[in-house]
Amino acid sequence: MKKKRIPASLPVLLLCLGAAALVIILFSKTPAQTLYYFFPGVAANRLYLGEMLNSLVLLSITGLAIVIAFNAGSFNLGGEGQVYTGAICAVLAARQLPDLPGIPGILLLILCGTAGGALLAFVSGVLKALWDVDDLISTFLLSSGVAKLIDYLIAGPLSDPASYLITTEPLPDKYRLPSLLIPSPFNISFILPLILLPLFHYYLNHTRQGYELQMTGSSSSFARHSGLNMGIYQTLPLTISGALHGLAGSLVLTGTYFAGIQGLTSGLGWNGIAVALIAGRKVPGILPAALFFAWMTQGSRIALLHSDLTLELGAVIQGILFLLISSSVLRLKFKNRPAGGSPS
Amino acid sequence: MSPAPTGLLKIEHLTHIFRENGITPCSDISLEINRGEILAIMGENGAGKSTLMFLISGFMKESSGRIITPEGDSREARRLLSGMVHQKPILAGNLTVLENMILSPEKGFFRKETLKQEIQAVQKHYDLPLDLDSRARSLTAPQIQRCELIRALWKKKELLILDEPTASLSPTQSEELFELIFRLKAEGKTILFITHKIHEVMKIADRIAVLRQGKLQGTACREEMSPAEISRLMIGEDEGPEYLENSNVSSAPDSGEMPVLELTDIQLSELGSPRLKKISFQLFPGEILGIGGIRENGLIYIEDLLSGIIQPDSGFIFINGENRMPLTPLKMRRSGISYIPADRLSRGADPESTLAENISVLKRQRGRGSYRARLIQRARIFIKEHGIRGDAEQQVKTLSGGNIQKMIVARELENRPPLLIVSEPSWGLDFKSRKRLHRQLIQAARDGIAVLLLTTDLDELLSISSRVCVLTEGVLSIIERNEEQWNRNYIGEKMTGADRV
Repeated sequence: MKKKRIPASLPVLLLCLGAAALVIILFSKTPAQTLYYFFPGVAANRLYLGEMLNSLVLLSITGLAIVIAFNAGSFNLGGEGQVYTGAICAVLAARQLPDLPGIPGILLLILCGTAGGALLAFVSGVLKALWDVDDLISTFLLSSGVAKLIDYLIAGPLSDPASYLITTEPLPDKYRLPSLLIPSPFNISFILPLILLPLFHYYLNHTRQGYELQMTGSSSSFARHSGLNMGIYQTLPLTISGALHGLAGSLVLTGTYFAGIQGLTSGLGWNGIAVALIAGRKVPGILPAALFFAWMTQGSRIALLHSDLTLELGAVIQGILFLLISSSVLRLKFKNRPAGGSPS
Repeated sequence: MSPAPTGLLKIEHLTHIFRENGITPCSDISLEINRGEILAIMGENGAGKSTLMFLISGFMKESSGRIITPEGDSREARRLLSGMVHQKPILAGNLTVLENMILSPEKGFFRKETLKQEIQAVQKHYDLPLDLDSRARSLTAPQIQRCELIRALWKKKELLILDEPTASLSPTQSEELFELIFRLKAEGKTILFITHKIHEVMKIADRIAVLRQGKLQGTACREEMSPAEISRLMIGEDEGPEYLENSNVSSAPDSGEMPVLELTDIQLSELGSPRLKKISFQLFPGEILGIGGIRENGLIYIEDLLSGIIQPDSGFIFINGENRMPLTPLKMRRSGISYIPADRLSRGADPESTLAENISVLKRQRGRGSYRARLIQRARIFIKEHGIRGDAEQQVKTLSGGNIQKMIVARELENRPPLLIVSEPSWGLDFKSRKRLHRQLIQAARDGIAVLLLTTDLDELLSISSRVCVLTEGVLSIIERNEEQWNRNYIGEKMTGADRV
């Protein structure tokens, strides 16, 4: 009876690749070279590959964060701010506790970052559970506001006078995750998605709480009238989502930049949404989706460096990519938010 | 034959097959519709009535066969000829009533004001008041129906198709509709009237066509067919009159007994207008308390109040003698109360989820291993036990309405709740499912469950309740079990307030 279905996002992805190739062939004087750097060139050396893998790790964590919220019927648009909060919490933890030994120190930093992101999203969850505040709006507004505050902290009270960048003081070496593919930032954190993805897949599909969470997401009216604890299912998934974003933020700090540079999130939160949508809102799809996304962004960056692909053209390709993906974003968004169960 | 009626529409060997699932809702139907007649199309749910109407009105394309109108057999001709008043009307909620009415290909330019005047003239002619400038989403079900009817009349459709028009009307409103139908007939319009209520058909139809399982069972003039005959054609066997169950459930509870549910002096107002006025009642184990009324005028508020999603302005709700205010759905379920909502596909089930997921929502499964595997395993047993037609991993939206209700009822009764709140349980059910449901409710009461039945269906109310109350304009009045009061007419008048005119 069961038919093998083609993932809904596959045609979109092929269209993305086709569009990117088309733009390159049309506008590049050396299309073969550009295409090489865009696609296989990513795996050509340790730096490029490591950078790609590092963003794969981070994207699969933020993608997972969005998928979990999705499954409970929540829409977390505040990923960007939660990642940023995670990073700044880790910075603050490092400043407060400079004397810990390396491994417990790093763990503590990551823990603080995770908690920071979780707290921010928890606020939105509580607002939703208590006063039915729309989570899409509240996560977005909260995160935008907090991001400005963090910008200020980095530029002001926490800024590093010795640096020409707008940044906090660099982390001490012992608090840094060592690279596994020098000189790239690819580090030990790659283990995290390998643990987290199966863990949450199991949680969502094979536990009672996961079942109830998904019922809440599928029909909140039915879940509510069946006596499921809406308080939990309106706050917990958002909180987990925030925690994962915070985790990604602390990893960016401890593994990639080693200092609280302004704007270090570089779209990690937004791209998590794209990854979740390519993945079809299902955990098993996250890793391939994140790989696709990481590869495409890294490919355009490398092609920019090595070929006649201009900055504008690179932006055009990324623009097409986003447009195609977000067109499916809109479709899923409305599917995800059925009309409320209020009596008319 | 007396003066030969002229044909308006001729249906020849019409068959429709849904390509997705191979279901054949209409198979080899041949039928002639005469100009100026009222033809009742009867049949149970799923007999193919609505599909046939969609085909006639050109809304769907037939798989084979022909529908011949005076203007030819194209779908366009059918569309021009007929105006359909849907059972579940489709309006654009954020547009006004007027905008909805004129929302169809108009040739060239038009002036909204002119159209409005035209429509208002139609309204005046037929005495169908409706505010054209209100938003469609604020309309009640009878108003939506009226909106579609006005539109069809304005468009001067010769053939009017009414799909279960009385489903959401009170007895008085139905009477008004019938009068209008007679008037339209006198004006030469042809009316197709879809229903499964035999008494309505006997009242208004000229001819009757009965469908069962997609096949035309027969057509006849009203005088030539007895209700028993129609019912036999509809369901295949004589099930007797509907009043059969008239319950022997013990009434008159002991005065010392503790009520399972007690409401005292409940007041509720919405947007400033009072909806429930000093409502008080007690419900005891082993009885079915039926509350009748018009849904929008109060029943819906009692349902929402007891399901815990709205709070009264004043008054108390006691469950098993304890004050449980403020009541929430969670609290209600924790007290073990079961609830069969009127809105089954939003509150009672999730159409997108599987049968297993829908069945297991009330009862936490114990044991080891994957929770999902346990759900499915248990659901399989449950489905078999209760004769539900479907697979544990099948999406609920692929099941028939009757099957979904069967699943909901079985699920809600499974844990032997102390109290069962049931709202409009037989909406959309066919004769057999309805009878089974009534037996289940009566059995539940015999098993000691206190049943609160909220219904607009008077036959249902009278045939299974131990005690009956009627809600009129927010006031609850008790119906005595005697000749004078315990009948349709008395309650109907009470419900609509006609007794106080």
